[in-house]
Amino acid sequence: MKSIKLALGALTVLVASAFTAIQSTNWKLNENTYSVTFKGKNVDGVIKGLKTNIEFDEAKPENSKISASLDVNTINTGNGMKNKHAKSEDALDAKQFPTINFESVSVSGKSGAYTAIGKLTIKGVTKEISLPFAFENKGTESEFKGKFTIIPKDYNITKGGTPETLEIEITTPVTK
Amino acid sequence: MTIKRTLIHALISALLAIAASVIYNIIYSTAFELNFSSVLNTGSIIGATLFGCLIIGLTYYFGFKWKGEKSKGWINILVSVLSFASIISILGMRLPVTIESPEMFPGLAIPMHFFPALSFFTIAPFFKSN
Repeated sequence: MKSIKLALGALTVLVASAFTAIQSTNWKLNENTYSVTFKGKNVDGVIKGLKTNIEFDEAKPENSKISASLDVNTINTGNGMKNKHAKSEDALDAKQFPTINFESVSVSGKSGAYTAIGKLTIKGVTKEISLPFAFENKGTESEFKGKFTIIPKDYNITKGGTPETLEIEITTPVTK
Repeated sequence: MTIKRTLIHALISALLAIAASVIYNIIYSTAFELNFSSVLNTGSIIGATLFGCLIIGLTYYFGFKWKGEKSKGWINILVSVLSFASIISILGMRLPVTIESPEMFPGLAIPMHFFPALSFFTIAPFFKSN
């Protein structure tokens, strides 16, 4: 009887620890201090309206899930005419596609440097991208920083004057 | 036409244009709940308007010395054309990305580009050369 109790106890501890191991931390975005910037030839600016769902475990990044969306209507290049062009039909078409979405498929890496492979949807076109990012763990308040490049033409952005490539930089301070 | 009279003319027209610009700035910013104070504020309005009115005044003075009364008509045309052309700089202006609704900036700044010329021309009859 005693050995059965011991075995059950051991099993309970094992199952509980297994669940603890696969549970990633849910990080909440600090909505006042994040930044999403873009930079290309003759144009740069910011996009706001970031919404995130980040489940990230730096020890076991493969258990992580990251999804994010941005509000296209908040795009700001610092110039009203450029903003209007960016939201127009042959650019981002903010009316029909008001959000830019990212959803990770897999996350890998270690020691603060990680890569999220995921699906980026812009203007209704979904492409798989690789998003290298750094994670700085400062306890309850931490920070994700990522940078990647996209080719606007791949997402059906054909407006004249659109740069060949756009570098996108994301800094997201988060709390547990 | 004396330089003293010209400078008084420029100064008074600058004061009127500054008053018009500051009032317009307050009305526009309040009505549309906008804040462009980091790029356009009372200090920059005073500086730019004083500069504009002084340039107009000095052009009037030297034009008068050079070609007499006839020069005024041509200078009026030149000032009007330059005031109009200067709005291109506003349309192409890139504001800091921390400022929201940059598309509303031309509506604030463009009328102000006409205020120095407008006030200078308005009070010109009071400063007619003998």
